Amino acid sequence: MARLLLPLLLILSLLAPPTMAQGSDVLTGRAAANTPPGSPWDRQWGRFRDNLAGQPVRIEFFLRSELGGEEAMIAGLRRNRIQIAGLTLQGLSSAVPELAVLTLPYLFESEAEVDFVYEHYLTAPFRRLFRQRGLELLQWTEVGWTNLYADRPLLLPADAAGLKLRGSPNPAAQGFLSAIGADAVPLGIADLVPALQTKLIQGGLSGVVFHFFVTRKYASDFTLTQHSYDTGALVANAAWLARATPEQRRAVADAFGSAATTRGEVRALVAGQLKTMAAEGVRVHVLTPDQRARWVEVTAPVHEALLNELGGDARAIYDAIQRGKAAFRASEAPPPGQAEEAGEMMLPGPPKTVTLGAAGVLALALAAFALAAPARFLAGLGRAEKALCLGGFLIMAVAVFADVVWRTVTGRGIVGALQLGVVGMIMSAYFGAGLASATGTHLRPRAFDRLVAPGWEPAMVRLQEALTGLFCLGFAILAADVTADSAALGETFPVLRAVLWPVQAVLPLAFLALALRHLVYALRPDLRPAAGEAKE
Amino acid sequence: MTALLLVLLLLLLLWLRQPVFVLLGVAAVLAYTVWGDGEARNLIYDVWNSSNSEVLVSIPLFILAGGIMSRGAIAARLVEVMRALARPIPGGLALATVLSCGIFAAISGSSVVTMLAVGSILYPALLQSGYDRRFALGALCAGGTLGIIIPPSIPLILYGIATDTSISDLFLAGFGPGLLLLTIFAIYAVWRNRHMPSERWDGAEILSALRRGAFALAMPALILGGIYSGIFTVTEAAAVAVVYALAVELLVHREMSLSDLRDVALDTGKLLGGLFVVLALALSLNMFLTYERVPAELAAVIQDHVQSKALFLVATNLLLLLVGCFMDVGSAILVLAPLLTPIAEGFGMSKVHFGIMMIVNLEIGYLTPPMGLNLIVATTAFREQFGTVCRAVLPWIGLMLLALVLVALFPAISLFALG
Repeated sequence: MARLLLPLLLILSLLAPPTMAQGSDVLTGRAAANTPPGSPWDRQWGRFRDNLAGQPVRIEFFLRSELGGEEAMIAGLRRNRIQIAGLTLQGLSSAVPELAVLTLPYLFESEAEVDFVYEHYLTAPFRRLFRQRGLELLQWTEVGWTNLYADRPLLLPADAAGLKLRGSPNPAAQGFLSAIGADAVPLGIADLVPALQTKLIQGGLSGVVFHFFVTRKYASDFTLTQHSYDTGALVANAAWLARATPEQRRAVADAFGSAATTRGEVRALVAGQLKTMAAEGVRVHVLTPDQRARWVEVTAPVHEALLNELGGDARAIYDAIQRGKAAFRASEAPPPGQAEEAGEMMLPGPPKTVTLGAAGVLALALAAFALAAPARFLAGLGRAEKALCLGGFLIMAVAVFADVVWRTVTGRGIVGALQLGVVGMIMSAYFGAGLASATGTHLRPRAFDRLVAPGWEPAMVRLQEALTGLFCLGFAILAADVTADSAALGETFPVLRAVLWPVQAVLPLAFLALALRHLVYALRPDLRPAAGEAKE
Repeated sequence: MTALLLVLLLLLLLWLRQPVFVLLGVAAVLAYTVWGDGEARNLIYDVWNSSNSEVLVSIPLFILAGGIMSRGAIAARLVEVMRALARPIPGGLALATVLSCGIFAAISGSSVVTMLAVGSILYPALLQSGYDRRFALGALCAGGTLGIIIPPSIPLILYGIATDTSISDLFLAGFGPGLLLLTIFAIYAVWRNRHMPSERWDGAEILSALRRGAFALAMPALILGGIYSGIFTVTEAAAVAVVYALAVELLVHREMSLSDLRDVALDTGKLLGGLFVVLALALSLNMFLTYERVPAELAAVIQDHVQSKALFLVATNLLLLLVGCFMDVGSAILVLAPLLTPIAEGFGMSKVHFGIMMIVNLEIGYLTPPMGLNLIVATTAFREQFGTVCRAVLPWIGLMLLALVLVALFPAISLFALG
């Protein structure tokens, strides 16, 4: 194993370029997105790159999800590890839940209405909401109308009843599918195509462009329900942008092109793609006014249910949209300046300190117990780790299996079941690491073991355990800091819509337990597991 | 200088008997702080993001299912059936192992899952039947990699999305190289075990084994049937496997008690605990390399210096083999496919053929240290030494390199199915 780790370090040392410097006159950063090649978004990012050439701004681009899914991108963006990102409303709603309101079914009537309401009634309040989360909304981008694809026409809600349709975890999308009686199956991109091939799902929700690039060959029918309007947004880390000079800020803000230009590019492409799909044999269905009215009627209750569920500023946003729609119908723009509100940047503050303080008290109490009664401490710790590990397995197996059974019996999946399975896996895995320590089964290279004189053996054992314990303690402290950060940012699981930090806290707790266990072993080597259990 | 200090520190920690997760963790912390953004906390974010992954859920569940089957009677009864059927072929069980990997690959789309699902049953069977330990490990580790080339394949989907290539064309093109690899593996398995004793078929023994193993034999049928009929996904299949194995052991075979189940779960927890921290740290280092654009810089070097198709093929394959040692297939595809595919097209290669060659190449990365996932998982799941597993896969890496050369030189192997 020693021989295997060293090349890794050498490669890292030889190949890794130096850290990006934040020079006084050049603004540096990373931009992340998920843009299919050849798509209008890809061209827009190309323009962004071209327009920044020659400007005092240097951006490294990661436009194919190299830095992870939208959840990871948003986490990186909020922590200033990524500085600019192009994200969908779906992804962004995990940071700004009020965005889910914008994708409510049949909220908008036309593209012109969307443009009017976004420009005059939504940009200012959302700029404020983004700033409260440490983000800067640079501009809205464009995805387009969401529709339904399936292996049959879906002209009325009744046609979709009982079908297994892939919907994003967005509460508005889930509410829509539930209202029409479909079985909402939230699947990741990697599972989507195999699921369509094996008929695990019979269709799903999609904008035209995404469907064209990813799923059009797996569905015979595409029904233009146009039930919600999805835009994306170009977002920057607010603190990063605040450090930029006015010239740099302007360069970044203008480089993507105007919102009108980006909208026009996507909309022009949509028309062409629909024609191509029709030419390829996909049946594209346009709803009649009567059919559309039925869709509107069936999905209307979703509005109130979602507003109640979201809370926060959701209702205020909804009311603003209604005012905007009324003004659009009356062809009236609000007086200049009225819609624009100044936003205050509210970066994370006291909650993190409080959380870390509580974690510190817990750690000290456990350490005191470990010192006072090491054998009893280890026995108790072992029981707790076993219980949590077994609990994790139970959650994992039951959640995933129950989803299959429930879907087979009722035709509806359990939203978030797989995510719950992940929670169980995290518990089992990290508390299982304590069980591995308790039985000496962590992988350990033994090539150098013979290089120690027998007389040094007792001291060596203590040193070995103390070092492992100190590493785990350091890891636990870092993990506690990150968990507190997550709590302060209010990060949530996108599917479960539950706060992230209680599950994330498994990391610091498990590593704290590991640290205390190994430190006890350093003080009392007689309590270590029998030698020889560990393997390389 | 910093690199030298880092190497010395690692050597010191090795001498001080630190476990692999500490060695990897120290290397990662230093990499993040010295060559990265100077933020050690980013390592924790990446560890968290690596852990918070739905794709990984099938791993502990398949390990648990394997544990239940091994502790109960399912594995033993399956082995009885296979032994009875494989008697006349020297190395019959070895052949069955490779073919089982191929069949499971056709449903799983994942290398590690294929290895675990097949290995949990056949690894003990191979050892009990007198097969060489190294052969058994190598066959399972290499057989598992078929999971990412035989469709459906998650890496092929990622490649299709990243390069705007038809996913259905990629799936069709994956069959040829998948069958080529399977054939090479099968021939090697039989040749390597040609001296294993063979006997005549015994009809009574086969019937008895089939009767006793009926519920065990129904398990692959249930898993395959469930996936292909669209009742559940591959990830969900792992949970179904756990519940089915449990139901059969507790209610039908009745050779397992609830306390046995508790012990199996705790054993699995120990295995998982040893494995998962290492896996999460390894995946985090992948992300670090991506953030620091190491693979992209290497691709840029190729773009700048390679002028002929032959040289491009050699340079690209060497780059991919190197990258495969340090990155998982998904990350490597997302980073490198968009950079390399246009160059390949410039040399007249089809995107489909290049994608297949890329996947076949990156498959080898599952077997190459230090980050080969199959090596890491096999070490823990089969409770063998890392060095033993590394040595066990060497001949199989040679076979895969042979297949890679054939796939690179003869596009028809991939493209024949596309007409």
